[in-house]
Amino acid sequence: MMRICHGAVLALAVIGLAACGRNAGEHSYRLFVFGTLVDITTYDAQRERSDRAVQQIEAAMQQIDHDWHAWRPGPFTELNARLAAGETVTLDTVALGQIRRAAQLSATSHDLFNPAIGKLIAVWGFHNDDAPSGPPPTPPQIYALLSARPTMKDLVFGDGNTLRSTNPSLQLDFGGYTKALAIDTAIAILQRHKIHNAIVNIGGDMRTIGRHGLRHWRIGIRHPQQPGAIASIETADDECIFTSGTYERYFEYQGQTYHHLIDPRNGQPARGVLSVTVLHKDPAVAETAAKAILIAGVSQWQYLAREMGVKQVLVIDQNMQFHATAQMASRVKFEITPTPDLNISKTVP
Amino acid sequence: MKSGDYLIVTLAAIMLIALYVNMWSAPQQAGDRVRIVAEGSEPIIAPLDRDHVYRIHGRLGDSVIEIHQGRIHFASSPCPGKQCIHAGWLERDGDFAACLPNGITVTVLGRNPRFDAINF
Repeated sequence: MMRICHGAVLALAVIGLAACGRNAGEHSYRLFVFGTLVDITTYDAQRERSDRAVQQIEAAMQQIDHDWHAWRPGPFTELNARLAAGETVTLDTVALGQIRRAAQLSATSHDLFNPAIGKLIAVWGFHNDDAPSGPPPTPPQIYALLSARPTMKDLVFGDGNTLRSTNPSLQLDFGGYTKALAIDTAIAILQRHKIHNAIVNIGGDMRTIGRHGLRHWRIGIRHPQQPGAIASIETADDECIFTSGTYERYFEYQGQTYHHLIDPRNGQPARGVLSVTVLHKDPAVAETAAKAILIAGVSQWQYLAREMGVKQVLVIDQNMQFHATAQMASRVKFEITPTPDLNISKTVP
Repeated sequence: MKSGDYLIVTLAAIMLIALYVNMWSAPQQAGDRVRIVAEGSEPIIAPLDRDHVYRIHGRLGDSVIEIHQGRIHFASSPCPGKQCIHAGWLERDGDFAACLPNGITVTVLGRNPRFDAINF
């Protein structure tokens, strides 16, 4: 009888383990926050635990979207109004740290990532959930905003967590940088729930932690001109993959296409590069470097990559020529045939 | 071991095989499938080889999504930009279109998805 009991325990254990495996497999969630899609995938975590973590992530992301939204009336538009009025504003340590970080990243990008040009982004019509319909702003409108030269250097970080601006034309617009902050917040929530294998993907930019069971996470990089993937990457444990692409937001007016990545040097949509993909540990660095390198253009991308300290970069230019750092070239796998030639940088280590 | 032990061990082995097949084998549907997600609703999973027209209710109104001859597209949508419609027909594993204003996404699913996520 005892042996039969042992056998029954064995059978139950098998069922239990199997059921546990099913419950702890891959769980996927799709949220709509930041005016875009947020996809969260967990692996090897209990369903209930994943559900709880994702509920907290959704609430946290909605709070971040509310707190940092560039044009919907809220704390951030109020901050912009007070800075423009020349007031000294007191902020909490976390918010101030995030603004200070953006200023540092802007400086290392030589102001090509310039979150102080919110007014320029607005005049192009991109302060809207939907794509604008045109017409584009007139040269005098652009010149008026450029001549005031708003940059993050206009911000003065004072004692007692205070902030003021010396330039009334400064209007902060953090764009994708906010999403990078939200990705870190989401990963921290997952880790607090002891979930160590996951992807947090906001609008196509993501941080991956851990693995998908016995293999790495496999990420496809979207083709800039047609549906499907152009290349793929297997991400290491805790790595971000961010792409800036001119195809993400744009409008057409009288046969001309205008995209949302505005070059702060001339106030026009950046030309010459279709997309830039950056791999980095830090999502804020990956996001701002991808954007700045795209704006820098084909002739200056390697200089910007060195300046921003990013070593894994893929650039696709408007002629569908591929440029990459050596480290990126060794990792990227093309998903198109024939396999394109890759111009490998000799100057980025 | 007694005969009862053999019975239990045999049953356990059969259950293990059944569970393995159930859990880890490829999906049973013939051909590729599509996942349609509307904000706040359960996802719709449908086979791509069966023509059908879906009317999906979103934030702004109804988007019409058509499956025809192994492909799927947004046929109409109440959004202003119509980028979902411009995305055209989707048919390959991982192809994806979204109507963000209306909160609806369409993803083509393969038998064994090649990617865990798409970066763009």
